[in-house]
Amino acid sequence: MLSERNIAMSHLRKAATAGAVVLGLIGGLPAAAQTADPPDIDPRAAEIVDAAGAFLAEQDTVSLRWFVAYDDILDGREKLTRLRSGYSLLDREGGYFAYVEEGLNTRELYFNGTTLAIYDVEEDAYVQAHIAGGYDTLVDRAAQEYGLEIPIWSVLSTRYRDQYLRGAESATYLGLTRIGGQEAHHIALSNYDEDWQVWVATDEAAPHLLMLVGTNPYVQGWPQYRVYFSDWDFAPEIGEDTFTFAPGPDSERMTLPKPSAE
Amino acid sequence: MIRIVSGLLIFVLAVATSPLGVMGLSFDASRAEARPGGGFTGGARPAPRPSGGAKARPTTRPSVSRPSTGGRPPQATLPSTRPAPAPRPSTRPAPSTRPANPSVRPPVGTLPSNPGATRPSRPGINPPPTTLPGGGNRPPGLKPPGNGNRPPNMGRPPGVKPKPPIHRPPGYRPPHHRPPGYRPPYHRPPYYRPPHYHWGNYYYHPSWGWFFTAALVGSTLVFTSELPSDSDCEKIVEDGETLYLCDGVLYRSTYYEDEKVYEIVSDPPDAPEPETVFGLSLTDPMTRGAVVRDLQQRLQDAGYDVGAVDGVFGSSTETALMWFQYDNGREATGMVDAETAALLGYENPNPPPPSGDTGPSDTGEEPQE
Repeated sequence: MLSERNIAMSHLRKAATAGAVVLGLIGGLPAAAQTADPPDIDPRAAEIVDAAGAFLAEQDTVSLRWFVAYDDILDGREKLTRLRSGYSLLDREGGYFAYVEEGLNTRELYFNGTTLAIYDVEEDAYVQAHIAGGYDTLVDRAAQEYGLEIPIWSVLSTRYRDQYLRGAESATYLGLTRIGGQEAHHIALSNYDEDWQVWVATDEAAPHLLMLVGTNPYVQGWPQYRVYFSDWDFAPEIGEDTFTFAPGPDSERMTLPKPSAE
Repeated sequence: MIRIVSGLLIFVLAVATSPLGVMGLSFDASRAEARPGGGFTGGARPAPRPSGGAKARPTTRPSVSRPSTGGRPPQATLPSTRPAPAPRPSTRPAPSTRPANPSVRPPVGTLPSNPGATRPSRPGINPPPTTLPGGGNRPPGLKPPGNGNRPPNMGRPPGVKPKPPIHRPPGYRPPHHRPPGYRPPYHRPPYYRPPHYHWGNYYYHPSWGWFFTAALVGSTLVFTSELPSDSDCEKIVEDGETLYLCDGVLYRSTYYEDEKVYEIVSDPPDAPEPETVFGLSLTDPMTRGAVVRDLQQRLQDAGYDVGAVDGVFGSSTETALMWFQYDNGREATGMVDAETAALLGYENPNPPPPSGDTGPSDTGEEPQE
């Protein structure tokens, strides 16, 4: 049955993943505007952001919890807040697991290097797709072939390790602050398409992300997404069957259609 | 002497009627007084004019001879700007109908002394006289139902007739009973509404209900967000896929847009494939099959646009068929009759009998060539 919780799902896959995707935006997009002025990049801000991206890309195993709140503007006036939360576990050699809650829907993603399985917990239904490769391959093929977006894929991807600041036209270091009792650097970045802020832990040994906020300046109401990261663990315990999905005896297998290129 | 007297008389009259008495203006404000016709009389205003005009005109114009030329033209030459007075409808009877001699009127003194004794009573005021139907004066008002022969009052109690008690189990409520203040739950609205716009545009099919489409690689699939709730569905697992058979319609469980939806795989089996081309027309649900595909191919070969040769007799096929009939001098009925089939090159121009006899099905399957 289609319910309100389900409705927000697809909205979320754009905005919520975008929340986690902030780093991808930072580095992944080429410079959108051909401005004559050179980018106004604060060296310290660039250093902190680049250090955080490099640190996350170097981690072979990582687990974290995340919480996304994003805005949905109705009729150009009323702003609703959607929520999405979950847990991600990545082993760059072994696979990937994610637990996603959105509304009353629960999804589990299993990827063991050869097969991607998405499990609908409430419906006891699952779908499988054959994807061979690592985490970056999973992200690419799931998006291109099936239109699926892996939660917070850009935060854990190694692709933008050296390109975090390529898309930013301005970066400013706003100083120190605290998030949940943890000291963090507050950095504001922007380009022609989007404004976003990053909070990076001041721990020089592990400069991980603590919070991301992105703003769309071209939509009435200036919708934002806010991503909170917690429980970072760079040496999690991973079982043997963590990344392999085992359907139950009554589980229902669904088909996974491939959307057209358009 | 007479002259003196007359001159004195003229002088006295002249003094008595001197215009000074009339023209003399007095500004005494105390003379102001209200007049019933509005305005006031006061010293600052002249005396009230005589009614009917601004200036008192003599009753008769002086007979002053004027020159014949110049000045105003004669009255007869003035153009008439006013329309001729139309003859008013006469509300009075023609004089000829009037009695010539008004003395024929009844004398006033003939009125009865008691009018109520001879004049009929006004309807609604006095009860009509007791006269039988058809026997004279029609009673005022509407005729009551029935033939007028009402049974006499046998002492029937007023009010509705009580029903005999029906023994119901405790807690029984009639069908569709709702307690006071009942509101339908959000998941079961009191009307049949389409699902959420999350899925985009929706369409309705009498067999499937609300459905939506998705453009996929190589095809466009039709989905529903849930199985029909008013039918029992049979779950089928085949080749790792999960299908549901609901009232003859096959649904495939599909993961689409992060949701579990159902792809409509097959059509209801209540639309058998036609065996002959005769009688094909646009139906609901649409007729489909190899015969339709062959008909479409022939129409397309004849230069008519049937859309896609997909074996479904849709509106495009009907339009092409109607144009084909029109161009060949036939009545554009949109149905394949014997003549139309012959024009399309079918072999047997005679349609099969309309009865359920299962005759040979080779009536229209082979081309004429």
